[in-house]
Amino acid sequence: MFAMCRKIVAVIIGSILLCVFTVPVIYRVVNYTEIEQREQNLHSEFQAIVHPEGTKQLKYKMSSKIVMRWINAEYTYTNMSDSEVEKYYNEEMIRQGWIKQPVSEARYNHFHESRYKKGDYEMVFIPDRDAVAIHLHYKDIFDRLGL
Amino acid sequence: MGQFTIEPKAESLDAATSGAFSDQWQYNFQTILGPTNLAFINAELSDQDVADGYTLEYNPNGVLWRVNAAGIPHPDDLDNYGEQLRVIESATNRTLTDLQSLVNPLQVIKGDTEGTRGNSLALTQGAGKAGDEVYLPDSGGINTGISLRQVVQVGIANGILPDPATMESDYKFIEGGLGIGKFVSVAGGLMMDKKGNVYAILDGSVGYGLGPPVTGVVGQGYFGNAEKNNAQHYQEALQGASFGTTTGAGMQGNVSIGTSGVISGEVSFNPSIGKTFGGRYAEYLFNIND
Repeated sequence: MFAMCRKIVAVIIGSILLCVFTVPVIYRVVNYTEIEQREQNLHSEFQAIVHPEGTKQLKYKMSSKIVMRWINAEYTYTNMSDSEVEKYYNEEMIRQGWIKQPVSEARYNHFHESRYKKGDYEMVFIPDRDAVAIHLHYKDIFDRLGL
Repeated sequence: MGQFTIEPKAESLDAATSGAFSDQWQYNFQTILGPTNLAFINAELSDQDVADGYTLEYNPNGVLWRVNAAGIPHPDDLDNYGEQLRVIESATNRTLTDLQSLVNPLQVIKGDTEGTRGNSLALTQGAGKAGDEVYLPDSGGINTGISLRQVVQVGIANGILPDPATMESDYKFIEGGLGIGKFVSVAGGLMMDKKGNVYAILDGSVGYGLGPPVTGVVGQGYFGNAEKNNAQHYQEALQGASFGTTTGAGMQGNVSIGTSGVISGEVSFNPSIGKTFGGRYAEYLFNIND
């Protein structure tokens, strides 16, 4: 009985791992051009953000997994408090058609993050010391599974 | 002021839960909003607004606000919009707490077909814009329900689980494993990183060595090749698939590489000896600060 249960558990875990490792690779091979397009779309969405005057970009990086693509960037601002920066981006994102996503009070108090969604994209603003980190990623199955 | 209602998606909740949720949400919404809060009043154009080029449009909550020719909302209406979001969020949070026992989180996941994280609800207003979706304050992972989160929080509070605030390594994990035949083993467990993200992990490996058919493993690890400034960075680095090799006897070392190129080094305690090669999948569940 134990041996049977052990085999069932092993088959389940093994199947999940097999799917996790093979399905995204197959998807990537079959949809290669679409994945390239994902990068371009992300880049375009990110470039559309109008930053406050005097903003300095510290980092910009497009990262990737098998299918998943995302952008991390970091900016500093002159003569703007964290709340002013948050308010500015709130207005800017709404102006561009992004919809602010509720964040739990506990999470906001801990991370001070703001989330916006537009179609398949999600943008996250997180203050970090003297800068603000901006993350842009897709909100799809590959993002959800981190693949 | 229009009448606000909130309706859980049909495929997300059963009819009884859906009805109870809507009623309770409506009650909480009115309570939190209060009789004097003007946030949901439709904006009107004054002569000065017209002279300044403002026109009326519906905001994402279905309430009229003033926008100029560039599409930028009037500052007062923008403040009201923020207040609307606060009231909606608070009402939703309170309703979720009130009806915790009625909502089966697995039902909600099933209805989440767009890959969006969290519970989705349709928000409508009498004269407003129907069908806008409000995503409940789930920061982004499979909703495993409050019970697992509470278990983790209680475990941390009682020192049974590591506290992310004082964690020295980048992440820690605990797993139960099974040996299958002579060369194969699988394991599953939980992992938590320094920023409070909690993941379910599955491991599979092949190799040679000696060990009991059932094992328990605890370990900790560090990763490089990736930024570590915030919880989002940690999630991006640790979530998903990775490959690696493990060697040792009792205390084992592991080196692995994720599909984003993140390299991790781990030390674990495992009552076995040998060398294995394998893969891990980590699924983000929640953040303990959610």
